[in-house]
Amino acid sequence: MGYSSNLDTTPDAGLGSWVFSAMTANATAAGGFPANTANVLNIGNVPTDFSVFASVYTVSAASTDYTVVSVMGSTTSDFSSGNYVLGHIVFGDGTLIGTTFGAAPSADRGPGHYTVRCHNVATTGLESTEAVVCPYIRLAAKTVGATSSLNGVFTISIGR
Amino acid sequence: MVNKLNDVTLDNAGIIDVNTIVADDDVGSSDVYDLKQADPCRFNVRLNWFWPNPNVGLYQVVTVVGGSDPTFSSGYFILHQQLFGAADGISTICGVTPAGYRGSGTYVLPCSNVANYNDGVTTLPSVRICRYVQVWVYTVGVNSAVSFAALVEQQ
Repeated sequence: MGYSSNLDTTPDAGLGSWVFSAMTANATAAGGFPANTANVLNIGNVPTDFSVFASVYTVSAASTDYTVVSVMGSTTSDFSSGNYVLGHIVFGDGTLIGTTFGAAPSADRGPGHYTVRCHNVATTGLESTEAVVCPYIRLAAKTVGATSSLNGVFTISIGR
Repeated sequence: MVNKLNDVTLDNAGIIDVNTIVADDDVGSSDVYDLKQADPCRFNVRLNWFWPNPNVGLYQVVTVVGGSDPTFSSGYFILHQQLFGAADGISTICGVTPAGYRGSGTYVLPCSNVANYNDGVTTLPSVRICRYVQVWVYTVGVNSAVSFAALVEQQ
């Protein structure tokens, strides 16, 4: 008897990779995230769902620490047309996450493997402005707290 | 024919709340929604969002939380998180400054019902499949109050 599979074997349309290596406390967008085009992924100029897979090796879950990784989009590869927020993932102490973000999870969010689902359509919140489809994607990070840190690899897969 | 991984049909999509008003500096939530899925699946939360008094420095956080029982007595976990509000308000806690406001509009929040978490650096990561989901809204600052409707839909 053979295996039956529901796996989609279609190759990914695009894949990007970011490394936040030994990002230190109270830092912003450091460690493998220079503001240049080298770490920008072009996922195409159509509305698209995509996933950011995070393998986090070090992130502090001490009571004073949290770390945010933000998924950003733009219409230009150098982001000169503006940054748009497409998603976030927050790590750290559950109670502090609750204080800062309003929803305290039942467990801390420490090292591990996480998936962040995103959509590449952004708005400016202004009635006269159309929604913006962002073909260019990059990541940013911020560590908050005396012992906060981040060390991990983030990859993007289209439509997953 | 090749099926997509975990492409589970979500045939019970529907509105989980409408016209929920969350006052300034407050936490509000939608109804709890039963995905009726015991396996990993994907879904969207479509958010109709109205912020009547946009002002600098203010922000709101939307969190899609999940749990394995309808009262979340066995715990609730973050499935998706998005920040809204003024650019400088978002920048304060996230370190990124979006172009313009993230204010009134319709937003799609792609989600998975798989929660990952880890209580420390020496423990193995854990995974929880969440059958029940709820949308939480956190408003920060005077004039940060919003109203919203949340719709769970097939992805």
